[in-house]
Amino acid sequence: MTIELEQRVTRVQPRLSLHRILPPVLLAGYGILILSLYLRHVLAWYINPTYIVPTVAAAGVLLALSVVGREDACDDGCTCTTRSPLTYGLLALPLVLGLAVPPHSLAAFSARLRGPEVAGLTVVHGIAVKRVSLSVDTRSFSIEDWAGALSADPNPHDYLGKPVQVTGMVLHDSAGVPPGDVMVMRYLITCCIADARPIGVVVHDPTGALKDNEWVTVTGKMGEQTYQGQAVSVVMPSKVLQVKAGNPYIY
Amino acid sequence: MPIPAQFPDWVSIFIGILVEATPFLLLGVAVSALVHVFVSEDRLLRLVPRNPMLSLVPALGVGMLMPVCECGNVAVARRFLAKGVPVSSCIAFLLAAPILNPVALFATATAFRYDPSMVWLRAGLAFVVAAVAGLLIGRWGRTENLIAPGVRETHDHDHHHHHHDQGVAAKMRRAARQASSEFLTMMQILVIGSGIAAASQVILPRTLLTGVAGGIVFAILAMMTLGFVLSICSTVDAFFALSYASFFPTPALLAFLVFGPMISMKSVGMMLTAFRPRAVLAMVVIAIELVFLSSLLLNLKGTLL
Repeated sequence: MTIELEQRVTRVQPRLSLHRILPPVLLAGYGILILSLYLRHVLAWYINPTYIVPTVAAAGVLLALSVVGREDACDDGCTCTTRSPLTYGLLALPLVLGLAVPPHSLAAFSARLRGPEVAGLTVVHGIAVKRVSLSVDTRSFSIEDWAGALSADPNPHDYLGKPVQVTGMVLHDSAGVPPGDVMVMRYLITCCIADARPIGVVVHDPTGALKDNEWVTVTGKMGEQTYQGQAVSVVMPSKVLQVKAGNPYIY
Repeated sequence: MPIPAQFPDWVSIFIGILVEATPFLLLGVAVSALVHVFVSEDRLLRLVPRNPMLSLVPALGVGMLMPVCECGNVAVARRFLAKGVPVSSCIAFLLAAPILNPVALFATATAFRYDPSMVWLRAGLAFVVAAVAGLLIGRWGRTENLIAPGVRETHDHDHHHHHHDQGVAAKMRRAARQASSEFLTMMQILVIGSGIAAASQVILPRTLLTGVAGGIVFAILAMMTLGFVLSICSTVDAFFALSYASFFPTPALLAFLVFGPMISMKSVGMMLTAFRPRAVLAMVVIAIELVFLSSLLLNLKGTLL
């Protein structure tokens, strides 16, 4: 099997050949896809904001190349690249999907496939460690902060009664959290959403009122519960507010 | 038929990989196009020693200096091949560049603050695999049987065009044309690779790999498989490997960090634009064997000390 990607032919293509028109259109298309995501403020739903500047710059370069890099910019009978229709179809696929499918951030249930990292149950590596002492006000702690604190010191007694207020997506995960509890989670993204890591805290929900994928702000206190013969930290909510779906990512 | 619930997530991951790869791919084809237009074959070849061992030195050196990861390096390796650089040097560059580049090493050091030896192990093993693969495959018969058809032809054909010296502006125009064409060629492969990688992320549960209890052999093979399937960028995969630090021992993480950037769903397709399938298969086999054995040895050393 040999992959024949392109074929160089010396014959000059007619002015209105698809081989002349499609490449610059596709190049511009990739630039426009990136710019449209940027202008709709959803580029951060796909990549870590650190990479927004180089990515948008790349979109500008692509638009420029679609003008100056055209095959017919050469008029001395030089080579033109011909590609198969399948190739053009493949190249157009992400453009069609990206421009036609509304921007969408990863759903909570995807976390089940990815293997959630639960604060207090799994040691979450690679995030800032938070130390919690009596004087620290934990009300401003995010899910990531709690994961950092509970990874450094998983002993639930050190957190008993500490105030909690976190916002995230609800996920039932029988494999990951104690029965009668749910996870409130977000995705941690380093580069693009292909490397998204679900990170969550355990929230007590004995009545089963919380539904998967729902966005909630949970207010309450840290408590503890025995799970698989081990004491683990669990948020005992005093108030659960349904909130508007937001950006599920932490970077 | 209803649309599966995974479809929107698949689209997002698919677009996410492509968008993220775009600036790096562009950097790769830009370097390739500039080399193509501004560096003559003779001058480039004078830099590469005749001795096969020594010819690896500039290849690995360039790999270390050039900030291209696995999305950009294929375009550059392809250009070197077209310019007549020996196959051994090009393979060594292709396999080493994603790992030995400064950005990837810095990211590894940042992620593995608690275990600095990871940086040296990763760089060292990548160096060994790249050098061995380059030397072995480079001596395996005639060059025409190793590199993809069309790679050298491009060079031959263009060659008779630059008899007359062109101005810088004309050369830049030619570089722009070259880069545009090469971007689309690489992008079409990236589309296939990231489509499959994204599908595997929304279909296969990761617990297939992490949930099954097993020994070190299983752990290493599982992490190598994960590296192949995930196809995430070599400049950030160290952070990702960390999320498996609680499931897998260090040698398995090392296997992920060396094998993934060299051989992944995303990169194998792109390699086939530069090399014939038999050469790519040889790279895959050599990388599997060396990474697996080295990780196993590292584990043995860990238990002996």
